[in-house]
Amino acid sequence: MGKLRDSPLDRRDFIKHAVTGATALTASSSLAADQAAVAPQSDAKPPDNSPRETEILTQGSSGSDYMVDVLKSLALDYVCVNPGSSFRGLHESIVNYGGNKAPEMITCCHEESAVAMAHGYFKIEGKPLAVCAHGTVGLQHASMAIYNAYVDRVPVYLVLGNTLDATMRQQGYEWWHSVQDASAMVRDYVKWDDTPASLPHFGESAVRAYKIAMTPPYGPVVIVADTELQEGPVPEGANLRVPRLTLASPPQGDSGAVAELARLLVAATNPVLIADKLARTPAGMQHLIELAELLQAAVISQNGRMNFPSQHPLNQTMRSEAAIGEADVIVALEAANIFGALHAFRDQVHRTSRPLTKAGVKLASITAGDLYLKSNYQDFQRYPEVDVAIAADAEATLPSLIEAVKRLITDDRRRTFQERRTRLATASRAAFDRARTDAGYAWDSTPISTARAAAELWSQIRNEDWSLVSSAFGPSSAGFSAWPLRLWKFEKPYHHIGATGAAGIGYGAPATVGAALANRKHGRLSVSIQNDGDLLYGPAALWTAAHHKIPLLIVMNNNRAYHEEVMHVQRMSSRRNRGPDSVTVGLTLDNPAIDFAKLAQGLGVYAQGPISNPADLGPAIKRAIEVVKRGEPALVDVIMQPR
Amino acid sequence: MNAKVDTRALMVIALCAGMLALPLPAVAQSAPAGNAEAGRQLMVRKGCFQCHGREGQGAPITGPRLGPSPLALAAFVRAVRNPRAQMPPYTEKIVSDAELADIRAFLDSRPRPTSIDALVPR
Repeated sequence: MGKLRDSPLDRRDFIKHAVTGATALTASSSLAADQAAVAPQSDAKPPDNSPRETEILTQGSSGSDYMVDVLKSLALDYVCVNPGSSFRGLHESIVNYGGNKAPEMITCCHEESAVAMAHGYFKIEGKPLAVCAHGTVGLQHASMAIYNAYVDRVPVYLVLGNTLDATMRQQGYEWWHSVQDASAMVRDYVKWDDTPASLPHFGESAVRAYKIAMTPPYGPVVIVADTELQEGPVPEGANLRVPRLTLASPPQGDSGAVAELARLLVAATNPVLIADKLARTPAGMQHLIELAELLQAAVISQNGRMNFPSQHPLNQTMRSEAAIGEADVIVALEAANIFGALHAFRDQVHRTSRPLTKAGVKLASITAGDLYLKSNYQDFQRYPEVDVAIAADAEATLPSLIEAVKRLITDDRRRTFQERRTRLATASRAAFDRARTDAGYAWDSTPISTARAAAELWSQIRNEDWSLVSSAFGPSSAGFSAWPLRLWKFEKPYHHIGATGAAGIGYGAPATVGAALANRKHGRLSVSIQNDGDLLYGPAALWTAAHHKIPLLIVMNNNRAYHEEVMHVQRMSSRRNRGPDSVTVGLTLDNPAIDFAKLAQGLGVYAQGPISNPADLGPAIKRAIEVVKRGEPALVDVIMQPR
Repeated sequence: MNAKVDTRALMVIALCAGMLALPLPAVAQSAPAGNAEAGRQLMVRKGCFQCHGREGQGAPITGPRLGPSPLALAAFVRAVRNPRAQMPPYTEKIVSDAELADIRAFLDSRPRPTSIDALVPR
């Protein structure tokens, strides 16, 4: 890049002018004079940019070294990278100047995998990872995973390479890999972005981006690192410093509204607490337990986070419809889909919704979502008609709500609450007993039933310090049709990582690798129930796990189909009276059957299978766990029933 | 494969769909015996297994358990022809009454559940 220093125009000045171009254009008179001064002469020769004889070919300082100083100040543990020349300067600084530590580079084979890894990592560790990508083709690859993170309110810290100065781009691919406004493509589903025009600007924006990403509601952010700023030397007299990071405290609910909600809850006959993305941190679960036990209130977890112990006597998730039907006060905690929770939707020719609540029920919500909405991507769901709306972070608000409730509870109410607890505990136990019975049907069936697989896996991990790092809920990403949530004891904050966000497929494999990376230093046994269709979006995430020695047990939920869609198309064919004969066309992953064990082995991962005899499953998982305990990933391919 | 229907809403629907497994009003009938082996094949060919499992064991989210001890035949046919919840309708053109009798016979022949206590202690 030495030749760039000889450019007749200083590129940093160019960037500043480009960024502020719209403003500059209004200064018409002086600009016109400048243009006249540099106007080409009719007999002028083409510019000669050939190297001078005394060309300087090395440099003593680099802008990207400063960028690494800034990134280090943010305590980013890792940076997930699929390499790209538009951030080659930063790449080199991370591994050499930064010593490849904090952040340490993780090699990913697709930008979507890189972002999903960061997504999964945060779900365990509560810290964002950095991701570097091309501003064009890299971001295009990454966009689906960014959308998942956005909908899941998870911070991901993206740094995009880009060459804004068109005269400095190498012919050909650098033009294809450059863009006028790099972040524009994902601006609808990132929380903030900026394109710094100088190194001091980069420093401020990089720290600001982290602060914004980590202020609830969390979200992904993008910083564009121009190649000129990365690759060039630090300008003389730049006097660079790293701005100090101070995270903002999360917004807490208004005291009056909190007091009103406390009165409703204490007076209620059947209060219900619905939690979705409540537990941002381990404290969130503890707060919910304290509030629920104070009131002896029913809790329903929508499992966006590990909100509440699955077998707590007050956990009514498995009988949620009944609990909602009994409720006279319902409080939604970081639950965007309140309408969906309170209505039964019917997907027939005429789509209808039936309320599950009884007349007169009082509804309240506490969500930072009320402070942050965008228009185009409509993840905010149906408008909730609530009686009390507290625009605040629910986890941060629960302590004051707990104190307000404590002040109102009398001995009489306490006795009533205890009676309620007994009733709820009985109902909860009955629901679990039914689930245990239901799990035993089709026990010896081949392909293996989802319940049997969940039970066999639980049998092998229950005495370990385990962490389910795949999504625990949802037809398209649920492990074994959500049987683990019915049969396993989820008690600790890291026992599951919640949902995917936007149900964009391709999240599963890399997110589990990212979560397992976070679990590695804690010595936990990371367990993934991996859907076949999802793995095919980005199987090379397995190689990343092998390359970086990330211990992870992967048990395939291989039903040889995009099965969620099978059910959708079958619904259409039945509605149209055409029958099921052809509904699997375009939906099955068979003929030839995919050998996931061989696929994993080819990527350097220990693997067994396919296993279709249920009696073989437990021993296979046990062997795989022995491999994982040596610090490696291991995969067991299991041929499963679709549901 | 992107989910078109909210998964949590589906859970609610599935719970509602569970009504299918509840007893409907008794209907006088002389139930044909049905052929269980034919029913086993029809469970797959007609796509029943996609939501209810190969043995009609049901799944938490997509479809309730159908057997053993399925609904009486008349009620079973009614539930398939005019589902009250989330299940799509299956007309006689798609699955005949005789085929439904076979499917019901297969469901009726399914074994009782195995105890999971050894793998999942209480």
